[in-house]
Amino acid sequence: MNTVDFAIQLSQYRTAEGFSFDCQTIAGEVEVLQVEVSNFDGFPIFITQTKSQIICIIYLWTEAEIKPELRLEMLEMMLDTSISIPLSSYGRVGEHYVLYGALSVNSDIDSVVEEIVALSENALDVVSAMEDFLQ
Amino acid sequence: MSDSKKIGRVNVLEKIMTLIRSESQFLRDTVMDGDFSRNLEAELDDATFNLKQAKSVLSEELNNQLQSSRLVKILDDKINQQEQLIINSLSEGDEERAFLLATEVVDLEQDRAAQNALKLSHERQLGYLQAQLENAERSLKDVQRRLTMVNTTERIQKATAVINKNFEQADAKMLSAKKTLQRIRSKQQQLDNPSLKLDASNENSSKMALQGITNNKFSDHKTEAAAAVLKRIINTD
Repeated sequence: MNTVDFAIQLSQYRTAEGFSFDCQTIAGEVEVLQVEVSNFDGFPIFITQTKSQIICIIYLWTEAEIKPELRLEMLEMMLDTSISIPLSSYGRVGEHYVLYGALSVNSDIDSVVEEIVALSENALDVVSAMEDFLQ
Repeated sequence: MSDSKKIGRVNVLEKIMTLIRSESQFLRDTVMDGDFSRNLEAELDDATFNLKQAKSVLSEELNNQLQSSRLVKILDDKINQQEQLIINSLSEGDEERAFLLATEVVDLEQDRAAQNALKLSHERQLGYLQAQLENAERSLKDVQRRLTMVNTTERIQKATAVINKNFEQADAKMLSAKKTLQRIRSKQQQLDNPSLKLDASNENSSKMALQGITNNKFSDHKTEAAAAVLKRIINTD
């Protein structure tokens, strides 16, 4: 399944909790799909795919947004809490701190949806919990 | 990590870590350029070829081993038959025939011993090849895993560049977590307050309307029933 297939399937999907998905493909060197969960005010999710993985990412904050004096504490907090966050992990891409989930390319649409919803909810909790570390 | 150093293969994660720690564009290019992926892909091709070859040799050796087993079984049967014939000859008092049959049994036993040795050799070879095959499988999986790391790193770097570019062109607020959180909170507050007012005003106006209607038109019984219906609908809302 490529990102266009995901966009089509996600656009038609509605979860038991009533979540649906607005999808937008972003043109560029690699295929990226931007997904927003309708009826859930959160962060946009970006989906890209390698040969073996589907990667769902939320960009949380940048280095510049962190209070310098609290940076170490924040990093420790991220390490300490990472394992508790269901289906998602922290990461950093360049200057951006991210929350992401990775699935096998063989995953079905239900698994992808589960990941997207969990990631959205997790991101909101993470930013809310880490707010004090941010400028 | 230390194991990988000992066995002397490239640890992709170490390369990626070096890349991340370094600001050097040269190193970035070295790790992320096509050559690195191509080298791993060549390794993958080699591992795939070795695996295919090992499977082919294994299949051939399996056939040899099966053939030896079949021959040993045939010889076992023949020997059993000959021995039965010897017993029959001896019981009939035909010692000459029994001796002749016994010499044939000696030949058959020699053949069986040779075939058993061959079978044993095939079994040993099979065991060795199976171990080789498992090594090739492991090697293949390992190269695939390392290639996945490189591809994923490359993909995420590129995807982030695409997303950044998109944000620069359109809506940069998405990159600020705190602002997004504040926006979400203020939106939720806006949604919460008017909805409370709306609920309260709805209930009040409904009650007033109900009062007006009941005062004017209907019998007590019907009024009560209608009031119950309206109450249910209001509560549902």
